[in-house]
Amino acid sequence: MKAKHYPSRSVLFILFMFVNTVVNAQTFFETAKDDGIISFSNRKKLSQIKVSPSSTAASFGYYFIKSPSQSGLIGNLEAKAKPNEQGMAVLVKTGDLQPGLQLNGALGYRLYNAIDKFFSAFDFYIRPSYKLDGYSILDTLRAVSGSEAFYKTNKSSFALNGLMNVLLSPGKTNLYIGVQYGLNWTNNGDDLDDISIQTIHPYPGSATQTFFTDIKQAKSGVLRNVTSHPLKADLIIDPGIKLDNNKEATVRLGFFGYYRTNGYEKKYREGLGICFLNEANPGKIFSSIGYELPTHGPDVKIENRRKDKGMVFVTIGYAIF
Amino acid sequence: MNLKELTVTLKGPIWNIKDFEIEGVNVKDKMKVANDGNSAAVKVNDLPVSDDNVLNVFINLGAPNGCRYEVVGAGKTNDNPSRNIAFSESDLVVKRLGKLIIVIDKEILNLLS
Repeated sequence: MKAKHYPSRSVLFILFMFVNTVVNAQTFFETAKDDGIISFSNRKKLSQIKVSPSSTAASFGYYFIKSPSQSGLIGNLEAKAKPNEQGMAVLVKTGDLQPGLQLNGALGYRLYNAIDKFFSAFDFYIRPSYKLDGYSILDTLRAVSGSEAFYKTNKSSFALNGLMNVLLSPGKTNLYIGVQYGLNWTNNGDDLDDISIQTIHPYPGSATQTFFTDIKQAKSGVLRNVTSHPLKADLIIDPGIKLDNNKEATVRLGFFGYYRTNGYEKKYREGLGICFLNEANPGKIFSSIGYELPTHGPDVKIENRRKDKGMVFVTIGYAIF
Repeated sequence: MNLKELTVTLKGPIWNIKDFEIEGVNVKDKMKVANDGNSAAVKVNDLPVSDDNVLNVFINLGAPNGCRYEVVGAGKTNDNPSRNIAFSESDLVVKRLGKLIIVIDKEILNLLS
């Protein structure tokens, strides 16, 4: 059996937003792995479909706020489905299915004007979530006990997180901050290495010729349950840079960064990039271009440190009605 | 002079409206914010205008820096219902600290059409 590691890849997210005009205020920030946590909406009700050829195939979100102009109840429901860990691109290329389903709910409170000196909005949420993942695993240690090294399994995960989204407008800038921390009862599937497997068979009736099976995508390593305290932090800075001084300009430039740690290993993910904001309503992101640095930390394997070149990703937003 | 009816609409991303006053009367509770969060409108009836015949509209709101707004007013007077009142102000931008105070003082006679 021959296993080869997957190279670093480029990622494209496409956002389809169910909105009436392009100036509706919602900020939906995404990272290279589709786990952004900043989402500001000032619509009473908003539905959104998002398609990502990367980690998530499709997701539906429903966001609501009791009053767009006063402090009050706020919440959302999200459902995500994916056919494959590497997304649509790999599904089309190989036909491999590693299906997954994720359901998130969030209920919270938006607080305006907590700071006298400048405009601020604080969204506090309690966020339970459920995840079901189908995995194809290559675990060579199983061969010792006589089991097949390659197997498929389904795993459920539960999480209960506290989430805070903050919008601050000091000086001429706007800062969007997201912090999420909580307790996850999950597994290490997302942190196992992605590999491609191709099996070599002897050609029937020939002692010298061989043939290869189709390439299969899998995770390499021992799949185990873990209890963790993952931390996510996102930051978007909007310094008010217009890309065009024309009065009719519609786009301004922002910068973002994020940090992730899974809470049970010393592995850290960070990303940086630029985003394009609506000029008349900087609370809305049109699109973004980012680079996720190679995962680092003492628990990253030496061979992964060598081959991990990071990841370029792009998010594009569309208003379809 | 009395205004038989007057509708004042604030167009733009509505985040937080702290005060919305017409002729010194707080009308924030009468304000209706659109579901898409892109406009807030207030309609008042039989509004007495001060003796100087200047219409005062005051809006105090908080929003991210850069948000752009337009205020549109439309109404009728009791004295001559066939004549309409109309006014608008555009390109009102939050420039610093996420604060924007919009004050519209208009001579009513100049608003009649």
